[in-house]
Amino acid sequence: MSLITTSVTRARTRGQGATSRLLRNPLGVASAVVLVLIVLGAVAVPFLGLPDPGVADLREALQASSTEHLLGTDSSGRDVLSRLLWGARINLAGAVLALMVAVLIGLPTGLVAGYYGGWFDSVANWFTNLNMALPGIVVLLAVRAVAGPSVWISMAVFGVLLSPSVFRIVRAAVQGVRGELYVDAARVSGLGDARIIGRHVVTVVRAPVIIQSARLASIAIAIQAGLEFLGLSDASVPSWGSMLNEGFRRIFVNPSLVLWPSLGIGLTTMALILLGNAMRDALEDRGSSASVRTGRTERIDAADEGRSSLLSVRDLEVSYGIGDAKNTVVFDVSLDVAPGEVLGLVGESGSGKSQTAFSVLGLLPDGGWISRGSLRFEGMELTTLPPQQRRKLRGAGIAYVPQEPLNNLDPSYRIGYQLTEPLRMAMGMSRQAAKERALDLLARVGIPDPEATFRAYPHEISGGMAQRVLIAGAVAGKPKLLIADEPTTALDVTVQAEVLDLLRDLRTESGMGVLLVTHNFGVVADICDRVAVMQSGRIVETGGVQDILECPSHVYTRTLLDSMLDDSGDVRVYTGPTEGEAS
Amino acid sequence: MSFLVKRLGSAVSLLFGASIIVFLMLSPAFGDIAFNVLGENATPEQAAQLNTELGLDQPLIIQYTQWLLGALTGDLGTSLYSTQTVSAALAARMPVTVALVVLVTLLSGVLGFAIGVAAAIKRGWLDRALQFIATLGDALPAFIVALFLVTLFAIQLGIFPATGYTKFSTDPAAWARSMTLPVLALTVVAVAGVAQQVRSSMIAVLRQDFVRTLRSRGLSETRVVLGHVLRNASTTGLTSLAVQVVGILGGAVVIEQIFALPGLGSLAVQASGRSDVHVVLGTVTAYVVIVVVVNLLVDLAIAWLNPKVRLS
Amino acid sequence: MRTTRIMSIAAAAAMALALTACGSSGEPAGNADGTAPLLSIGALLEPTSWDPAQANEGHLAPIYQSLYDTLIKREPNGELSPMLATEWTWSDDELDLTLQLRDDVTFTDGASFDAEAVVANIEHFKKANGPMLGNLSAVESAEVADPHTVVLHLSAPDPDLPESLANAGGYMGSPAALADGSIDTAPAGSGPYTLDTSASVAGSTIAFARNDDYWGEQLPYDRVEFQLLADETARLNALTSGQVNFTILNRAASAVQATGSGLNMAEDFTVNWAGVLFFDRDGEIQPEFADPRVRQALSLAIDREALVEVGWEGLGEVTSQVYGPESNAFDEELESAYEYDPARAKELLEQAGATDMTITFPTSSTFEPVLYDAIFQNWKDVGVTVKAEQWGPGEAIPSMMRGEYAVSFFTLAQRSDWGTVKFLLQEGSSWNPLGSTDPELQQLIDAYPAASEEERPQVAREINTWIVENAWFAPLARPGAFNLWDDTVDVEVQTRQAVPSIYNFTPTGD
Repeated sequence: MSLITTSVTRARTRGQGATSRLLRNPLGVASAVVLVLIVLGAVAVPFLGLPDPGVADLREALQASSTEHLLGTDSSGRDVLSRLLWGARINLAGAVLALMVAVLIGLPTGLVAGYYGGWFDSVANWFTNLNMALPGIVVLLAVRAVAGPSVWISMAVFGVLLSPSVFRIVRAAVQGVRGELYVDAARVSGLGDARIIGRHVVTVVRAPVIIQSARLASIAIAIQAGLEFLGLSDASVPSWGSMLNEGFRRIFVNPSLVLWPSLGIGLTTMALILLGNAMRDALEDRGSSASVRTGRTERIDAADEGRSSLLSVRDLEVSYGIGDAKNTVVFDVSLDVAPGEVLGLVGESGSGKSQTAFSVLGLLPDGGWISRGSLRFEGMELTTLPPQQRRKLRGAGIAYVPQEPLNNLDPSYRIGYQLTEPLRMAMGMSRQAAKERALDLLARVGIPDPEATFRAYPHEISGGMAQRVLIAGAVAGKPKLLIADEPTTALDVTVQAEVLDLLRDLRTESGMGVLLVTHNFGVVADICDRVAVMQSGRIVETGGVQDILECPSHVYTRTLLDSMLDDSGDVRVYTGPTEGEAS
Repeated sequence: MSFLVKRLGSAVSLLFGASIIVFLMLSPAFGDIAFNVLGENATPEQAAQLNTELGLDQPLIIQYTQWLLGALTGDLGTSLYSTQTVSAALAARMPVTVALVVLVTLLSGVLGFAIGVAAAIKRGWLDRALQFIATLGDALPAFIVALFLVTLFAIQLGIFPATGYTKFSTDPAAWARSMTLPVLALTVVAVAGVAQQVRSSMIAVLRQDFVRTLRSRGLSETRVVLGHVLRNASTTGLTSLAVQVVGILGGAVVIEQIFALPGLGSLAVQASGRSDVHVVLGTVTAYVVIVVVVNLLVDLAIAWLNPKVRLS
Repeated sequence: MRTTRIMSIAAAAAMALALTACGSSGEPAGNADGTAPLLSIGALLEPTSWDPAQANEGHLAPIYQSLYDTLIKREPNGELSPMLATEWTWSDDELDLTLQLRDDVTFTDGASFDAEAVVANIEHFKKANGPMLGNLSAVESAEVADPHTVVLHLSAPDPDLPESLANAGGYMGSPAALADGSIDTAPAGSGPYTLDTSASVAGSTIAFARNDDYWGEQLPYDRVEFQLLADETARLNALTSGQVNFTILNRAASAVQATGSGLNMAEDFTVNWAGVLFFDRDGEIQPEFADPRVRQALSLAIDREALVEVGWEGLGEVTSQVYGPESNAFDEELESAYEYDPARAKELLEQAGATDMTITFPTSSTFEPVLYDAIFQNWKDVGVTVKAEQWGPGEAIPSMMRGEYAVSFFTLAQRSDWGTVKFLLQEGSSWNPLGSTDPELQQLIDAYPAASEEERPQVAREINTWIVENAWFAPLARPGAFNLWDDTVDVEVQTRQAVPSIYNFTPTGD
């Protein structure tokens, strides 16, 4: 009988697509149908010609189902079906009442508390906590004692008890948008608070409140039935809970009497929750259990000629989904990286360069797969390699330096642990040896106090430091090929240069090949030997760095180069790590 | 330290508010107390006299102040219907409810995490099946689940007792048998909420960049998922578990009635039914204490799991 | 001065076998051969205090009896026999009762039992405002005649006083403990057991250990435990699992279940009557009720046979009178005075002009909802509209006592001839909250104490006949009192007491 519910994740209204998505969800449709049937039954029961739910006939008690009594009779000889439907009226109306009270209290207070904050927020929060600390059932018992057995009073009070969960959701949603630009803009343009709340804020709050309402209605039905079950509400009115109460008294004699009201309560609460979930999924467009199915790679016959001994990619095609839902994002990509060579893979975001890099790593996001082509690493065909073998290649054969340094360290562990864990687990080093190696690496990548950094948590170090840590982690396994995905993009200029220097030095020391994914020709010019330019999933031009920079042959390459020269001040200022997706 | 003080302060202020509300809500029924204490043989004159003796005809503010002064010195008063002090009544009832809540919390925590993790990793049909089952658990009120379990396991199969309670010290095996169905009924409901929350935060964490980086280091999938993803996802899972505990406490009230367990819930129902005001205030106090302790434990666990919280 | 020497008075107030020879044979019918280590009883209620003046009758009786002896003892069949008092005699005007006391009794705290102690107890009882204060309401004072003789002076005759002295009014506690108030929490009596505080857990278990210095014949059990199990199913389970040896159940459905699993139940044992109480016989709240024909009609309209079948699974006897079969007032012919006759009921309502009556009827979740359903349906069938209003937990008795309703359904104990009058019929009776009265009835009531011992049964029957004919109540049934026990114990049920007295248990040796 939880008065508190798991908070509904923030849902945003996304136009008219939501309704059709809802209609495509079979569970959502089924629960909507069940609810509609129950409501129809409750509304139509006076016209169905069923026996009066209150007419007792002791000589007809506990009859089995018959044409006269479809579901049989109860211990007083009353028609079970009739009582079930009349009970639905009471229970549904009670739930609606509780819901209305909860929303009427929770919505305005949540809006005000979320929008203005301040003392009102603190006071409202204290009341919310108080409300949550009071055992709801005790409050309802007390209300019962004072106000009598009226369903309506109990459910109105229960609505008050439910209001905090509306309040919290509304408040959180409002706080979320309060600082957003369009609300600021509205404020600057002189719109009054009331109009801003009415126009901008309420739209944000609508979806979560509707979803939460389904939940609350379900809880209200359960609580009401619970009170009736405990014998605390008016037994003279047919209701599901009072039917349960009577049935439970005779459960040893006749267990079937609890069946029908249980079904009524169970089906209704379930349909409400499922409908709420379906609405949430539709509004959030989460595609809940998104298709994660992948297909088999189509082999190609590629000549061995001209293929590099380190990494050689031929006719790579990357797709998401299968069948009708298949969506191909990379087409016919072929490239080679020789030992000691730095290949720049250049293109705008969405050009497929990262997808290509992840294919080499074997770490495409969920649902992504190599639908065609050949990937060879040191002569090994990667597309047919079992996952276990592939994993063993990572770290020791192919390593990876990511783009956003702070998002790529596990916030829960110290730097030292994150560096030594792969050394111990994947390479079988002892704890001591791993630590020594990690400290060496930290020193090597230019970290001034390796011991301190070793003990630090990710949020305690700067972005530049974090990127050095990640590079240290990547080269820890002495890889042959390093895949660096925009390794400097998130860093400020001075640090960018240092990181590039470091990569260059490491390449020189170990003779590893580097596949450098970037959109920045400055970086290319600084470090790359050769360049491949990608557009819309295809490689449009490949060549030596000198040739490409000086006389690009493809029109797209020229555009890219021009745009870069236009805003020559192009340096992305590091603005701190962006928070990971919070739920 | 200041963290603890703040927690304690808010708990005390909540207790204060809750006790006033409970007192005010029960006060209209004070007139019935004497009749119920004396029983069917007494006359109205006797009842009036008893009211005076019990101080129930005093102004509410005086009655409340007297209780509050007592409570501040650790004296929660005595039941109006027995020789038992409220502290003794709580001490007798607490173990049952605490055992129930602890067992359900542990079980739904373990199961909820396991199901949530499995659903997040496997996705596909397993995910859908688990989601559906979790939704059922989420949607069904605990007492409906309890009735179902009683009918099936106690009445049809006769494996477990339908109701009743045996003390652990009397017979541990019988205790376990008497606790099985109540724990199960509450767990089915609580596990759903935890599993849903764990699943969605697991999915959110799995999408984070550092997971790819960890994989790129050649770590096994098990280590990545259990060592890193789960740890990061568990803070939201634990928060949801804490929320569930409040729900479990509420659900336990009805469950204790159905299974005739002598816990805090049945005490609260019995006492509020006959306006045994000191006992009701005592149970509210006990509930607030349990909720505060659980939240404190969860906060400590989250701080342990999440260094950012710990250091700030 | 006429002195009637009564050795044994039937609990009801003079059964036909009034005068029998005085004898000290009234000791518990204990099994002389065997004792047993432990008797465990599943109890519904716990005492609010150990002060004997706060004792209640019924369910609590065996608990208080373990600690405190009464002046007079009630045998299982209701006859009175000596206990702390060896003899009791009335003065001719029945305003003085002289009791001869035992001289060999000491309380567990060492104080000795004598006439002073009795006076102290009686005075304390009258001051303490206990639930059974009415037991001694007629007693004006108590006087020490000699160290072992005490005289109770009454303000008005009370034929039931000896019975009261065998009940809560007769529990004797140590005068020292009464004086300093310690008896509230530390009982000090002269009973067969003492409270074992170390083994007792308030709210859960009350443990008694044998009082080795007991003056009388020892009871067969070394220890007695009362396990407090307020919940019906908890008691049922405790009994089935052997956790307790004896308990009482309220619901017929659980009694059926218990006997089905091989437990022993007292057959046809009833203590209460269940029925409709028309409080408003003067029509203050419900004007139609002033007409006896309306009350008669409502009584005739109820199908008692069917009610017992569904309401108590057939475990009860249909009746139309509030007096039980063991009372003198009981009249076999009145049993079926109001046999189901809806046609006649309609006729009477028409004659009374009450064809369009709406009755507000309070309901309590204590009783099976089916009972209310049945009564309401029967009344609807004769054209009465019933508006049900539900009491919350604990509201029923206060509400009735305050006279908030014109009518209600309840179950009440069947009392003695005079007890029924005091409890239900007098203008100031607690169960006559609206103070109904009638000159004819009053005359009969006044005649009862004035009548001689031999005439009283006749007067009592006349009173019974009058209230049945005038339908002050619509008694429906005597539901079974479901005393259940396992095979380790033999139990003799106690007339007019929901549970057996502590003296009525003997081990079977199983």
